[in-house]
Amino acid sequence: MVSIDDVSDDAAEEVVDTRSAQIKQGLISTSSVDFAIQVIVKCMAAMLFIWHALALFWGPMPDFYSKQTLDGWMRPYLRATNNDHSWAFFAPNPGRARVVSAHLILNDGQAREIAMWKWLPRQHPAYLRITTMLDEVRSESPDVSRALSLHVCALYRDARSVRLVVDIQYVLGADEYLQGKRPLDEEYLEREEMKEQLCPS
Amino acid sequence: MSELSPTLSTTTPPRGSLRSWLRHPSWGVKPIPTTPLEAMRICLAMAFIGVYGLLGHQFDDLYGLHAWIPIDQVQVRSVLLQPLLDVFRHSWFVSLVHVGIWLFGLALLFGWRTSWVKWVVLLIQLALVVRNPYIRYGVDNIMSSLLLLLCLAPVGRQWSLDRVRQLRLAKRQGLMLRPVPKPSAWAQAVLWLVQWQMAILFFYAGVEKLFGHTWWQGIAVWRALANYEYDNGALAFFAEHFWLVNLLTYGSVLLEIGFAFLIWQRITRPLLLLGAVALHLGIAVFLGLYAFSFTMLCGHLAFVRQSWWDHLGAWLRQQWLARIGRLEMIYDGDCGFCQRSMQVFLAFDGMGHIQARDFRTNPSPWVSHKAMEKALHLLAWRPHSQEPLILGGFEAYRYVVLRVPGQWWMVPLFYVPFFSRWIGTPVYNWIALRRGTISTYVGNSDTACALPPPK
Repeated sequence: MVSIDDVSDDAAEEVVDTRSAQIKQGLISTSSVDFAIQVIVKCMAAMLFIWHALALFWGPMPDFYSKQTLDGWMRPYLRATNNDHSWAFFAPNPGRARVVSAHLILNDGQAREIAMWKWLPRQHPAYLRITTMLDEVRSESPDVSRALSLHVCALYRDARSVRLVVDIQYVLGADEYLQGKRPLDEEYLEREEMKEQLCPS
Repeated sequence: MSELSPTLSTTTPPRGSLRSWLRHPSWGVKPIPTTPLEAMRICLAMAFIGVYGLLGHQFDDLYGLHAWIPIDQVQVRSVLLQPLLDVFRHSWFVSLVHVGIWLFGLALLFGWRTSWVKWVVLLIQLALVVRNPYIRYGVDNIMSSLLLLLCLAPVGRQWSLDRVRQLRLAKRQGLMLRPVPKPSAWAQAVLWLVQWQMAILFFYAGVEKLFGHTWWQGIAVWRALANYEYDNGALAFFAEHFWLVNLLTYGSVLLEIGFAFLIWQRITRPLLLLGAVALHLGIAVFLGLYAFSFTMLCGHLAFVRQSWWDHLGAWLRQQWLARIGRLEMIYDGDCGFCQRSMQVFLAFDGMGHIQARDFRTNPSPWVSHKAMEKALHLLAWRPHSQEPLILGGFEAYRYVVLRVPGQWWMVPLFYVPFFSRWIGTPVYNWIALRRGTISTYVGNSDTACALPPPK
């Protein structure tokens, strides 16, 4: 165990002064065991500090060969703390809006269209969550389309089948806007149809 | 007014050997007040309640048992978070989370038992993110990062009910004691981490934009504005003044990349902070991303220097005092219940506006002994007035609660038209008359009570 007497360098006097002042104030204990525990706790705190700071910088970095070595250590930590992000807000380019509607075939054979993106007003706290979810309606991720279709089936009990249709918004230019054209004009929309989902009877 | 000295008084960095450095109480990191972190706590708690608590009946559609995305379809990216998903299989847990968002969000906002409440808030937030990753967007990610850091920080020492409790305990030793909130070296370390987090976030947000052709062409802002998912605010104005779109596009990239490097300098920090605030206000107003902007601003609070908080606090206090004047409450020091009431009442006086005087040991020339036997009195030394306004009993409390910010929560009790006075005055008088008897039950045992019992 390290004793205060072991300190033989120039700082000894200063250390003794500081330490005795701290002992007088009751800031630190005279016990060496306590001191050792304090050092261990502080070491762990310092390691946590460095680790977290490094992980924050490392996480969003693009892939390169040596990155994978450290990734094995850092990625689980970043995932567990939900810090595993690229922080790419509106990047590399602001996205195009995906306007989703559900096309229902009812039991009596009639067709009905529901504009899912209009379910909530824009000021509603859930609006952006709904649009974020609708952004996931893509041909390459059929699970999301299927889940949303089934949810629509549950909401509209008289539906026989549901097909989600995505109108991808073409971003019009400023000149076009000034000419009176608008983002959701039909000529500016590119359509993507999902697979038809039969509603459970 | 006497003040207790802060516990950590050694702030000079250690010099000399490694051992001397190890023996330094904070390893050379200067302990700081937790003010910026407390501001962040309050801001994040508001964001947490706003983002999740205000979902209303949509909450069940997004996170419930029969949500849009079934729980079996959700894949958790970390095994550590799997238990947070599994609990959502119980309907009672969904309701519990919904209630918990409000309860623990408010507890964090008001700083009640902050040391463990902050962890519960983080767990709730992570659970929501895990339950439905398809609805996760920027605001969730930033909130997770900042809440985690907040959990590591020693928050709750200021602007909190925890602080009120600390003051109340101190006032048992002396009514005018106001212990200084304990500074912390670890608070400084966590503050650095929050700053680092924000700088990293801006840096990568800026660098990623360099890969997009719309940012190089100067039209990215227009593209975001014209996206139908957002608010499309002032599209016509920006279409007519397209140079503004170019300016904002290039300005955003420059700001985001420059922020990471220039925010640390003394001279450039205010400019960068102003730029960041303007950027987020713009995003809120023109794109309608209020929650995102607000949460980002919570993070930026970490860059507000302690000296700025101190100046702001001193200025507010000065302005407030100049407006309301000095307040002096004269109480009965022989009555344990009165002392106890004063301890609780003054604990909410965070800025220390109110002076307390025990008329038994230190009589006031303005109020007679006989009047003091009947009720507590207030002397309000209003600005530009030679003589104080003297109020007694219920009216004294009524006057004070409106003028001391920490006691504003009592305003609804004291200012319901007609009813407050109609009920409050007789209730006060009834208690004041029987304070001797009451003191034997709820007052300090050593002071209960020299008053004669009511006739």
